[in-house]
Amino acid sequence: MTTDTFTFDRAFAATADRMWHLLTAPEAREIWGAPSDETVLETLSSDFRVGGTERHRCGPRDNPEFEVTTRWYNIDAPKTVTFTETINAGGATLGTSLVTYALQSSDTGTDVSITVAVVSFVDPEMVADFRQGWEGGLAQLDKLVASDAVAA
Amino acid sequence: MDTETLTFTREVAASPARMFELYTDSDARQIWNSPGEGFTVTVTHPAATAPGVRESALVTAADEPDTVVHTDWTTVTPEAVAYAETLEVEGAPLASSFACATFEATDGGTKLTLQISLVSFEGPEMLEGYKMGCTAAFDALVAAA
Repeated sequence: MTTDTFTFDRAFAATADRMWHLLTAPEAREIWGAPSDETVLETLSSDFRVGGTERHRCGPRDNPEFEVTTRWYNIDAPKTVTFTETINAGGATLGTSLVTYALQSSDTGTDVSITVAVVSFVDPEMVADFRQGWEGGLAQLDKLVASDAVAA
Repeated sequence: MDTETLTFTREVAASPARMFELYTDSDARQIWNSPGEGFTVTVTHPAATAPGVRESALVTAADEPDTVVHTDWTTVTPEAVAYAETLEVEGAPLASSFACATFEATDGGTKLTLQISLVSFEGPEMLEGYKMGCTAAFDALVAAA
């Protein structure tokens, strides 16, 4: 077992309501949740409420081999949300993370703080994979918000 | 939003199999998984301790609001168990945590490691209370071993 906790602090030029939608709506998460243009995140089922679960498939576009189960524990729109994500592949559980989003309106848009507490059930590299996945996803989110601004 | 990660490590004179039993048997957990003296833990919705299932328990004490604890198991193996817990009062979530316990065989028994990531939705006081409850439960688990 390997564990780590990391926090990402980002400032977005979008309202808190818009960021809430992008961070929690399954159709929005499909756009930015995959860490690169070569990967994909597909929603298999969604039940966005406290105690509800979501299931996704993710990975390379030609072989999205990872199954992700999300369970929501706290939803306080548009301020905070807490959930766990468990990643399985090949019948094995690779890792679980406890994730919290905290949104705060600012003069220029919204400050978002994301705390990710990770447990790897396989090897230490899985923790690094979690971090890289988040870094890639947030880069995609940056692009999505920027394209929103251009469209507006 | 208040967060913290706790790590407990202890050598216990019990086998890894015994520690696994204490974790996965709901009757045993009613005894040791209590936030402190004076609290009563009653498993109200027992379920097979397996990944993907939810167990619920009611925690009561004099002069304290009744608290419902939902436990969602994510991993259950003889070497490690992992689960998320959510504390609710009157349907409102107060805090969540994700815990992972590992049982490593040693010459004298088991090296028990418990790591808990906590999130409080009700400020730092709730976080402090949750930490005290986790510490009391871990001490009770060690005593039960």
